[in-house]
Parts: sequence; structure tokens; C-alpha cells
Amino acid sequence: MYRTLRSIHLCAGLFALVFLVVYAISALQMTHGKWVHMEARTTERNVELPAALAGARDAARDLAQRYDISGELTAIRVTPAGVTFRILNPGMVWQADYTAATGATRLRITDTGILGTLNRIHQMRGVWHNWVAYNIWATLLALVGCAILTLGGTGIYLWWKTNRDHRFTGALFAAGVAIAGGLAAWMRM
Amino acid sequence: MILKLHTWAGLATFVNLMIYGLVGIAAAFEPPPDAPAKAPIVRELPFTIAPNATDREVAERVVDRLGLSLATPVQNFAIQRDEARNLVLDFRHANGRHRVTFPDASHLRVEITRAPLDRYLSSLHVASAAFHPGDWRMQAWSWYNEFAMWCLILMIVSGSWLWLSRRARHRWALASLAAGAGIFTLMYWWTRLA
Repeated sequence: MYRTLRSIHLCAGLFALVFLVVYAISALQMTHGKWVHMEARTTERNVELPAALAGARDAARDLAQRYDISGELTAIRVTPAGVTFRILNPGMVWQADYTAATGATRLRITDTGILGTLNRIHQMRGVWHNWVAYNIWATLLALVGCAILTLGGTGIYLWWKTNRDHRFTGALFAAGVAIAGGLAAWMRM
Repeated sequence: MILKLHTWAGLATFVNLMIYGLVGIAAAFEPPPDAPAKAPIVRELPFTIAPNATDREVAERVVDRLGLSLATPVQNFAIQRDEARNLVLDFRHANGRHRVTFPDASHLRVEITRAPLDRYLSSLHVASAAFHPGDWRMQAWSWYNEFAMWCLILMIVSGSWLWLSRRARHRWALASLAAGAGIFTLMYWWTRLA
């Protein structure tokens, strides 16, 4: 039992290792932006799409086929001249302004680099996205969540089995549960 | 010593780590933005707006009256005016949302939407020392959560060292690392570089 759970603890930790490093970096960026600073770079580009496309979905499909721009289609807004929409992927936003009469499309591209990408991966949620990659990222996030719970459960068992004297570590555990658990429960009331 | 540090860090921040795990799982099941919202509970309470009181002063009195310490300090975006220029207070906090309007001169109307448990835990998991909430419990939680974040980083480093120094050739461990790193690399390449 002990050897098995020790191996499970190790395997769960190593499976989640890269994700946990990513979450740690992005957590530092979100909470201590002065230390780990994310910068956005914005550029503009004009591309040609066929005229009189039916809407944002068709325009986005054409952008993917002709210019390899793919991602989550969002913020669709019909304008007098055509349609505006956004295509998102982790760390990048393409704001598209499509003119139906000519097919001319202006793209405003915001790139937040590696830190922006890690930030978005950290905040992935829901499996209802129209871009399947976002759904996979959210599923992976849930898998890493399971790995963290596994690490916690097996970690408690390993601590209990390997420590002869539980007085100090037991007090540490009890204090942590009392402080964090107590505050969390109290604020919820 | 490294093993002791690894164990102590995990024990001291066990609750926070479990919250991180639960929030990660719950995030995958989050409903889409256009899902129907839960109907709020509506209450009317006696409340008189003092003459010459600014919107902010009214907001702070309402927070006191409703006991919304988690919504403090009152943010500028919580103080709004509707199309008819009536005062609307929209307090969003870890436990949900309190939207306050004033139907007459002697009452306030509050629409209460309580956040489900997973949303509440999600709010807790993002709190850090960089935030300065008005509620002392949330401030204490923020400091503890900041400590938990550094403990997690310590556990990542110490756990990696323990693996390399003790069980570096464990086959299943190597396979797990390869699977995790491989999936991440593949997904990163697909969504960002391809």
C-alpha cells in the first residue's frame, strides 16, 4: 500500500509538473505584475476576403483557410458596412473588421507573448467553446485539478506513515486547516 | 531537510491546495456565458438617503446596512446611474452579487444572487497579498493564500529534487512526466505556434 501510494504521488506530481510550473509563473504574473511583467504588442494588417460573405462565421472560416488564423470566434457585431468579430487563441487576439461590399478586412492583432499565453491557459474554463482546443485546455485543467487532489490525499497518507513523531507536523497541519478552512467557512456564512 | 520542507509546505497549505484542485475541476464544468442566470432573491428594507449625501456616502451606508464587508472597499464601478439617472449600486464579491436600487425615499430594494460554492472557491483561489480587501478575514485569507502560492512553488522545486535524487529511474514516473510534458507541448504548439 505504502509503496503503491508513494508511486502514485510521484507519478501524479510529474504528470502535472509542467502545468504546475505554468500555473506558478502565470499566478506570479497575475499577482505580482511588477516582477513578472506582461507586455502587449499591437500590429495592424489588411487582408482580402471574398465579398458578400454571409457573416462572421464564413469570414472566420476564410481567414483560417487563406491566412492560417484560427481560434475561438467571439464578439460578433453586425455593422452598416459588414461585420466585426474577434478570433482568440491563448495570448493572441485578432480583431477583424470585414467590409462586405469589397471583402477588405482590417486586422488588429494583439500579441501578449509567452506570459500572455500562459495567463490564458491558466484561466481556461468550460467545454462549450466553438474552438475545440479551448475545450481540450479546460479538460486538461480539470485533469491537473485531479492530480492536485491526488497529491494532497496521497501526501497526507505518506506523511502519516513516514513520520514517527506527529506532534510538530500535526500541529502545522491542524493550524493550516484551522486558519484557512476556518476563514473560508466563516466568509461563506 | 528537503523532504521535511516539502512535507511542511504541503501540510501548512493543504486546504489551499485542495481548493486549487477543486477549482481546476469545477472550471471545466462552468456553464457558458449565455446560460440562464439564477433568479435573485429580492428584499426591500427601510433606508433613507440623507440629504446632500454623495453617491459614495450612500454606497458606504448601504454596505454597512447590509453587512457586505466582503464588498469593501467600495469600488467606483459599483456606483452607477441607470438611464433615468437613478442611483444603482452593484456590489460584486466572493459570495455573489447584491444589486441595490431605491424605489422610494424610505426604502432600498436589494437583489441578492448567491454565488455557487465553486465560484466562491474560485474567488478565494485568486486572492493574494497584492489585493487590499476591506474585510479583515479576506485580508488574512489573501496573505495565507499568497503563502500557499509560494509553498506550491517550493513543493514543485523540492518535489523535483526529491524525484531526481531518489527515484530518477522510476519507469512510471518517467512515463508520467513524458505524458504531461508531451501533452502540454503538443497543445501549446497547436494553439499558439501551428
